[in-house]
Amino acid sequence: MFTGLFYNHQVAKAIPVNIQVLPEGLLLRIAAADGNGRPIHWLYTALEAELVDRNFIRITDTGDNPGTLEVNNADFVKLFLQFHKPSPTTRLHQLVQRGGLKWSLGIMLILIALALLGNFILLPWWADIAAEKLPHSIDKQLGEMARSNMNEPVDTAASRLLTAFAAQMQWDTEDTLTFTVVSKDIKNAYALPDGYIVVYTGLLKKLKTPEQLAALLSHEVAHVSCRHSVRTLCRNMSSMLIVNLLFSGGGTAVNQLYANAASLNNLRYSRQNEAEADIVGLATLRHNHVNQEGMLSLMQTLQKLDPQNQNLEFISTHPLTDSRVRYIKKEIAANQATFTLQPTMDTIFQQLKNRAMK
Amino acid sequence: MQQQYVPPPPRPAVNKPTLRFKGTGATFFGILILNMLLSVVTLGLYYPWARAKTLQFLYSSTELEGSRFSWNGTGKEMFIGFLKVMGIFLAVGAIIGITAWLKVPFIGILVYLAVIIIIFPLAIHGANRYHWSRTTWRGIRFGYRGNRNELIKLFIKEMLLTIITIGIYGSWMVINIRNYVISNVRMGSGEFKYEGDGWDFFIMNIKGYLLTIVTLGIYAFWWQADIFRYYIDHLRLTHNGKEFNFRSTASGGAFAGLLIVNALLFFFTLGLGYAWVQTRTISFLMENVDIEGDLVLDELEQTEEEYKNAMGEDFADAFDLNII
Repeated sequence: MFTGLFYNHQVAKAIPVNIQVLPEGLLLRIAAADGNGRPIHWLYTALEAELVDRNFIRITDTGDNPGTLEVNNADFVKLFLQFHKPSPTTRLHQLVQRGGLKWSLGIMLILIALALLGNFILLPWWADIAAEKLPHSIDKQLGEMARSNMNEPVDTAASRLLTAFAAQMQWDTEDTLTFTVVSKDIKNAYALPDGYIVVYTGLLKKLKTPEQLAALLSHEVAHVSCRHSVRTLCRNMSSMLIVNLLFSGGGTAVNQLYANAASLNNLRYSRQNEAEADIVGLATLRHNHVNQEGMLSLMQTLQKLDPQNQNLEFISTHPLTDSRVRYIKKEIAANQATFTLQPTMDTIFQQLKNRAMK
Repeated sequence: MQQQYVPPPPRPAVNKPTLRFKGTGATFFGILILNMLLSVVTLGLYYPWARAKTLQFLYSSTELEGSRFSWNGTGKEMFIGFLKVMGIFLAVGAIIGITAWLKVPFIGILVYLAVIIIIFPLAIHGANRYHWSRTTWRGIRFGYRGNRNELIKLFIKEMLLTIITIGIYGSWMVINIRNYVISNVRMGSGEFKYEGDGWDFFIMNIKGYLLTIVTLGIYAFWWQADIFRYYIDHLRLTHNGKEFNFRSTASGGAFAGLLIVNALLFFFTLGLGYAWVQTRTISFLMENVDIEGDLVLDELEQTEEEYKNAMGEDFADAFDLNII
């Protein structure tokens, strides 16, 4: 026997009732003034229940004789829910309402798992599909936008030499390539999405063989042909979509936090890009009958540079980890190819070196 | 002569029903996190149902004189409302597109402005009708008896005056609309009355604004307490010539304590404490409303009809209008 409050939907009067839980329904007895309770029979099939928390439940009969019963008793809630089975989603809600933090934390773990799955597996996949749909004119605009923000001292004569050097090779890309030497003591090279490739004299000085330069250019051109910029951009945008889905209306502070986390994530993505550029670059070397070992010796030369040197930008954007050397070695071993000496390239390379050393 | 005892006329008993929030942060957290999961899994389509669950929890956790409020709206109603809202947005977009195509964008802009001006009062009206009709206490429905056209006229008049006075009239606008809307809210046969005054509200806000600047923001808590008191103290509930008066007991210091702890709670839990911030805030507000008068809640009768069109509610939600 439980007690509860009954409302008859006519006046806002709380009527105390005694409740009996029967197999087919509830039996309510209004505690009348004369002591003789008038019984009310409620069948489970005609009832709607709203569970508020582990103790409190509201049961409404919506039939001809509408009325509402409110009971504040955990034992009653448990017993009633054994007889009255709600819909699956309601049951899910009842779990968190009755089970408290245990279930909530479980659901939080599922959410985190979904977020990780989305971020590391679904997103790169979607982003690549989206990037493929985008026209190449986007790459051009991006490159032009990036270039308009930089004003670097171009060494025209050296650039002409570098272009002549690159012309000795066949590039497997539809993009127009522009090769430029910038006279700055920075040990780095980069590629913009519109095929604008820059090598700093600081890096040129450190190169020892034409194969190394060929490997460097192959790597940078691979960034362009694989459209790494557009793919990264698509990925960032889809990251924002996921964050919005999770936190729509969930406070801007949290949004900011996750937006920053997304930018950290880009570093990881750009390492994947680097690996791809290395592998594609090796293939370019093979097609041109250039010794693939050039790529390996390029890495090793760069690794030997003084790590204290502030100008080692190549390292921070192109991490020279052991794993990188390892997979390059593996790739070369798996794809043995013949190579020939390239006298023209060698001559141009020496001219470039001489100019850089001045 | 026998002295007859004449009992004094019965003095109306003074009732003091208490308003309390019984919900815990842990339960609310569970509801929010499950809503989040289901929203993600359904790519956001679950949102109306999530909103219904949240409102159900908040209402059912609020207790007046030992009985809880109840929210009877459903996700389905709000989803249908959402579809209607989308339909209207699309229709307006289409009209603007067509007028641009017909080289008469001027008409499109006029339609756009007209829709914007009319949509706010429509949203306020619809949201109140739906929201109150779906709210019950002891099985007795609340209701909103405002007239749609009156509200549109009132809104346009107040809006024009606000524009003409470069926003100064805003205080009067807020209070006049509040007076109209709340005075049309029914709790069964009980009638709410709100009697605010734009001038008082204006002076209070000017004072709050200036003092907040002078005290480098510290006075903001007291300003907040003033606004809350203004909203509560001018509210009455009347029924058969009897009435309840509402009074706020929240001080600026108490608001400061609440809001500072809330901010810390939210910040140090990286936002996970949101559920506790909400339940703490609602608890605080409820505990600081004193109700007193000769009205007898048991006597309230069922008078209000059911109204299941959630379009206004969804409009209000789309514009992020926190009406209720």
